[in-house]
Amino acid sequence: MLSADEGSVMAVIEARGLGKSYGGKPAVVDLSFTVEPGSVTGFLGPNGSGKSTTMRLMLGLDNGVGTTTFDGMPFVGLRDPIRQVGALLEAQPFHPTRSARNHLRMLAAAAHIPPTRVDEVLELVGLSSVAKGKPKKFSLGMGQRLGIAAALLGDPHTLVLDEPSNGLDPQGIQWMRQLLRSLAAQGRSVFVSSHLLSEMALLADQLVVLGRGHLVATGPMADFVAANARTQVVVRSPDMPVLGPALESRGATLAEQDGAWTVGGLSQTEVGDLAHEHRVRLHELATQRATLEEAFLDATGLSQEFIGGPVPRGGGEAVPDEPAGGSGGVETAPDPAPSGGATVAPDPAPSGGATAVPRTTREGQR
Amino acid sequence: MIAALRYEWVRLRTLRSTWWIAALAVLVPAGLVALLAINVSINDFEGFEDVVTAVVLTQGAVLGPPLLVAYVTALVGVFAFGHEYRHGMIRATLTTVPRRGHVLTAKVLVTAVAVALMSLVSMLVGLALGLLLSGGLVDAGAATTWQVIGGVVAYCTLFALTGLALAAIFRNQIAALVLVLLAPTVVEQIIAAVLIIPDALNSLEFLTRYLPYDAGSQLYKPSNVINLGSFLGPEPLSPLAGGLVLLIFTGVLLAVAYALFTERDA
Repeated sequence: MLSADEGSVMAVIEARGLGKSYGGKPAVVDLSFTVEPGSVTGFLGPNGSGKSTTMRLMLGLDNGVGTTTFDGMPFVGLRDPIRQVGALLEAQPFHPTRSARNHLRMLAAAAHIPPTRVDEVLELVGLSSVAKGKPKKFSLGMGQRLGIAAALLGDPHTLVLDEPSNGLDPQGIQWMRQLLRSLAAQGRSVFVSSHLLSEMALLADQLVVLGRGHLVATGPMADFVAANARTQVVVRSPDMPVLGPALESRGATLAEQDGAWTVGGLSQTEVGDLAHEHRVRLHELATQRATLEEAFLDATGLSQEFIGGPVPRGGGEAVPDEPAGGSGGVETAPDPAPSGGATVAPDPAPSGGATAVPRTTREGQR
Repeated sequence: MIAALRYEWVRLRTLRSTWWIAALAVLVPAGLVALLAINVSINDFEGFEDVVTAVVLTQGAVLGPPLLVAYVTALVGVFAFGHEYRHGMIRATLTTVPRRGHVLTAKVLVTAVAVALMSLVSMLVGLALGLLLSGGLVDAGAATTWQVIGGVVAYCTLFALTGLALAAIFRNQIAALVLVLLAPTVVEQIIAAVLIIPDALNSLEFLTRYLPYDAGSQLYKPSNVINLGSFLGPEPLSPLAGGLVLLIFTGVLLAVAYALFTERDA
């Protein structure tokens, strides 16, 4: 297994002001973030948001603006870089007829890594049986495992991995997750990109969220979810014509789907107490936690993009499917955006529109 | 720099193509040398040992045709950068050895040594076959023998390095390959023809002496061997001056390759 040199496995990645344009079109704009050791930092963004470009800038493969340092040193200045930073980039860089073992031996030769270590990492990624196999005969997943073996070859304190679970089967993805978590637990810095939210939700402690080349948020995953998608209470009741107005008079927002009402702005306890006050029957009362996906869609503004133009806001706007006669005190400015099945984003701050969410998040996290 | 050299050396020797190039570079010329040596042995060339030796060892290239072994070993140079871009290896290379100047320098040095060794072995095997089969006409002690061998080794090395530079400049193996094959055999011939034939351009005729691959080929053409090319056009450069022209040409190509390689995104 990997051996962590106690004490020396501490490395901070600091990216400052990264930027890159392709033919005048900005791909990454003024991107700054920090990756701390001892945790998995997820680099999240839709396809085409600039994640790969950012990683290439960090490793000095692309020319652009800004600096990235690994323990204070830019990548190009590192001595035996693969002993310090293990990298996996999107397309697999293997000569089709050079065996897996020879590929790793070539990398090892540059950093005085003994050949025994090559067999060790092949064992670790489960490729021992095809060590002499040629990459042209490898599946996508096998290629990905070889790429991970290459990244781990120098037992580096920092890992920069672009979509490492690409092409892996479910078992492989789980293996990868456990591997990266254990590497982080040893005190290493693990920076891993993905466009798969469900994967990231299980893997990362910290997040760097990118949208269209811009930083959308950084900070702990839990904070990001809490800040970008509020928890809601789901209510089923045959007496909604009574309960609905009562909830709205307390400042709640309401939305109905398939007979279930989503209540925003009140806690489960408050809704239960209110139902009791009005002697209303409840068939269901549950708290629905926001998922990373919802938070992500909110933060990157993609939910809006897919729905269409901006939805008019203001006190007079009615919640869709509002029960008859229930328009009692709707001064609370409910957010009427019915995002296609994802989430109804109630907005407790009346001035804050959907577009303001990323901004407040960013400032709040820094 | 040591890291880059070690990387490049393992890269080269773990490529299957390196070994078949080496085999071709030795075996194909050896076969031709054997045929030529047997051919001269049954003819009467007494007294022309130095000319016969030069013709046999270069498989006739001293008389003007292309030097076969140089085209084989040039593949080593073309692949040195061609594979980097063809298979995305450049990312593995630069995340292992991030200093691009080191990467390019290591490639130049390792390619030069590998090609020099391959062409030297090829020539020595040819010499051995010539000594065995030519009935004494191929002469290791002849004045020009070692000049021919040294010239071939130097020419092959510079030739391969131009292939390396072209692959780095175009980031395309096929483009570099086509250029390396056609530049000496077709492009330079067309330029020479244009410069020599019309009267109006007679004053520019001297330029044909400086066509780099042709000038470089003087390295292995002893002055006492008749050069068919010199029937037309001006007197060719001396071996050293010709070699210098090819050396400068190679240096310019490598400088362009370096400038582009350090500037571009990988």
